[in-house]
Amino acid sequence: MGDPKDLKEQRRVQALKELGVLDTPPQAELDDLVYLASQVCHTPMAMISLVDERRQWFKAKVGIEAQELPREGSFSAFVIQDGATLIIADATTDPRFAQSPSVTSGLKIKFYAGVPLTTSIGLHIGSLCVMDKTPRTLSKEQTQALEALARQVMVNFENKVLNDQFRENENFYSNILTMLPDLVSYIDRDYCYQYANVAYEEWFHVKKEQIIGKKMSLILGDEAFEKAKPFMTLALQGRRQDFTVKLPYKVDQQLVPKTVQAHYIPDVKPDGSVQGFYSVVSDISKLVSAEEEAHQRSVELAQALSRSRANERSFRAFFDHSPMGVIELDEQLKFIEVNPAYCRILGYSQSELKNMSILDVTHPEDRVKSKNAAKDNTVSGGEPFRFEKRYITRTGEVIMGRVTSRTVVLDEQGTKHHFSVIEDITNLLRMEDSLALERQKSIHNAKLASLGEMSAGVAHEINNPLAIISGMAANLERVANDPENLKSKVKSIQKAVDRIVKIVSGLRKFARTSENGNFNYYPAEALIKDSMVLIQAKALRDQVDVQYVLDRNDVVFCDEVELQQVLVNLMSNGIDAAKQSAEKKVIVHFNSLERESVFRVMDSGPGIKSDLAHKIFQPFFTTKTVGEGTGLGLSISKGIVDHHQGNISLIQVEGKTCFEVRIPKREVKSHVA
Amino acid sequence: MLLKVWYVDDEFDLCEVFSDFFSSAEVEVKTFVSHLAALQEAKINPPDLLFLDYRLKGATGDWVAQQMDPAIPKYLVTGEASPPCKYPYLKVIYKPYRRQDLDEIIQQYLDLKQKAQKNAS
Repeated sequence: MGDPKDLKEQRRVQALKELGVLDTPPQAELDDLVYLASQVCHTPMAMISLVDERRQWFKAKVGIEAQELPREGSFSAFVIQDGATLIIADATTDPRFAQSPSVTSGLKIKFYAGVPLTTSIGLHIGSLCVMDKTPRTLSKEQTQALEALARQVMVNFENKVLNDQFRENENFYSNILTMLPDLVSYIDRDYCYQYANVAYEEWFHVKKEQIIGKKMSLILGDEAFEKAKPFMTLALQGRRQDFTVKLPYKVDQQLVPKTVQAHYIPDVKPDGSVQGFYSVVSDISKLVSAEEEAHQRSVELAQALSRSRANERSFRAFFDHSPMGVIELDEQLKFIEVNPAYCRILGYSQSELKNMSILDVTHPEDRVKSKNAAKDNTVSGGEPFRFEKRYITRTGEVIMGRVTSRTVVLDEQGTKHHFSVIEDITNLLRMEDSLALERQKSIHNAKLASLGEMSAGVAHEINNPLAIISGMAANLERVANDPENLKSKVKSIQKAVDRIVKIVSGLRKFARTSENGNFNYYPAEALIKDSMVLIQAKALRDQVDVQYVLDRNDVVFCDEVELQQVLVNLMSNGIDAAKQSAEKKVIVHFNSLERESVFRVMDSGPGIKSDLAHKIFQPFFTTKTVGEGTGLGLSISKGIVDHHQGNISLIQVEGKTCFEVRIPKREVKSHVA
Repeated sequence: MLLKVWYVDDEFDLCEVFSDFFSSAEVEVKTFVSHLAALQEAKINPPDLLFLDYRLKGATGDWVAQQMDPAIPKYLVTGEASPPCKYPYLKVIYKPYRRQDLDEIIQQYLDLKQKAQKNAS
């Protein structure tokens, strides 16, 4: 703690400095007051003396040259110390000042009267004083006048401070108002602007100066004004209005809707009258928009969440009830999740599988495939990977599964899991095998039907040479002594036997069941000739001439037995059609194109009616009379050609029937003799 | 007195067999691989007995039978299992036939002819 006197002095000096008058230029009002003081007191000298730590400085003065004098031993120092009006009639006789330099030398002052300059909080910062070089005194009125002037000096000082502060505040608030994006204005009772901040310029594209004095409706636009007017009316009734409203402001002749938050603060005078109101308007459109957006997003989020939950429910339903197995494996191919279908397929419980690896249920020969599939899937960046593999069920049964697997990176650490969907295709494969078997059977049955159809002709082809053999053999004994005749007859017998061998061999080949996938390269000419052997009898019986033409002999990649069946069917149909014609002719044509082997079987028959053409490959469709055809020949032929990935079609050439069979070529690796 | 027996078959070997079987002092066998030649000759010098193969080149034996004089006895010889026929043959003989099957028929007609000639003389 310091000396209270020192503290008081410090506060006093501080107060003086805060007045901001020390060492400032002369001020007319204060000069006037000092002049008044010297006139009232009839003294040649007067001054406003301000006392700081070390000196007395004269803010205004009359009759004195000096601007400042030392504080020590001065009258003013005494006045501020004492805090009361000091009147010294003759200083030379006053022991307190008789030795003061101002008395003894310099100004040689005899008379002194000083009134302390006291701040509103009671601190004495200096004095207003009058002086004379001759002794004298002041009347009571003069003293009171001097004291009044001293108060005016202080009013001046303190007003200046207040004014400075006011200006500073005004600048501050003015700057604030300039920087504010909100509209700040003062509206009078006629709804005219008395003040408007810079924000108006930005909002309405109108200079601030052009706003002052203008009706609000001219600036805001009629619509916005009318909408806000009820609030203004209430504000002018002295009731503060705080509200949010969407106003259609008129900007550049266009309506710009803005959501604003407005505050109308009535300007209530001391007599209770309302002169106008202060208006502060904030554009909260973006805020509202952001709020709406946030609301919308929250709604969307809620919907997404709901969808997500629905998806999750759907996924869970799929997972739980899918007929296909669904599993999740970790990177070591251990089960993480398995669905009931997977358990059902393999016969294990979920808890059992969760302690196992996928390799434990994979057929030993397919384990490498399974591992590679997971590896490949990882390398391919999670693209679905499909493969088939064998599983071993809990009971040791081998089943075949079709697997679709995908690797998913679960987190930033790169943890990968494999998700797979497994379909048990064991039964499907069995059905496919069964279907293939049925197909073979149907082809065979159709062949047998063809054989039945050809049996009459075949009988002739066998019986005739048999008749030769029988007859010649019976006559051998008779010509035993005629070597030439004997030789001729033996030769005839041999020829007849060859005929029978050929026809029986053809029949045997035709009747043979083709092994599935017994494909090889066969010369086209041999295929045609062998087929012709089988239908030759029929052709002879029906007196139809069957010929073949090769544009180019080549090998055909086919199943020999199956393709012969097609050719026999087509030739047989051709004979049936041609026998009704005068020409009675069937021509088999072969050509070897770059990519295809093409057979054409044309007949001289009446052709197939165009409205029936689309039906001819349907099973059991036939144009033959009852008992002549099964209606299966062409449908079986189509099935066989399809099996060769080829194409069979009907081409009508000048009203005549021509069936075209196209068999795709394969790279010839070796020729079959 | 000769019995004129014809055999029409488009297979030469079968014609030869027929000829070998049935040619004798009493039976004159004539074979035709061309049914047209047979038809032609039949107009001038018809046979006493005709054996026709069913399946001929360009025609059936059945058709040929219908072109011939109905008075000529006709037998169909065929390797077919069941040939469709319009002509009322005296008999259908299936290949391979036994010699005696035809022997009996030929002998029957030979006897008839000899008997007729004897009556006439």
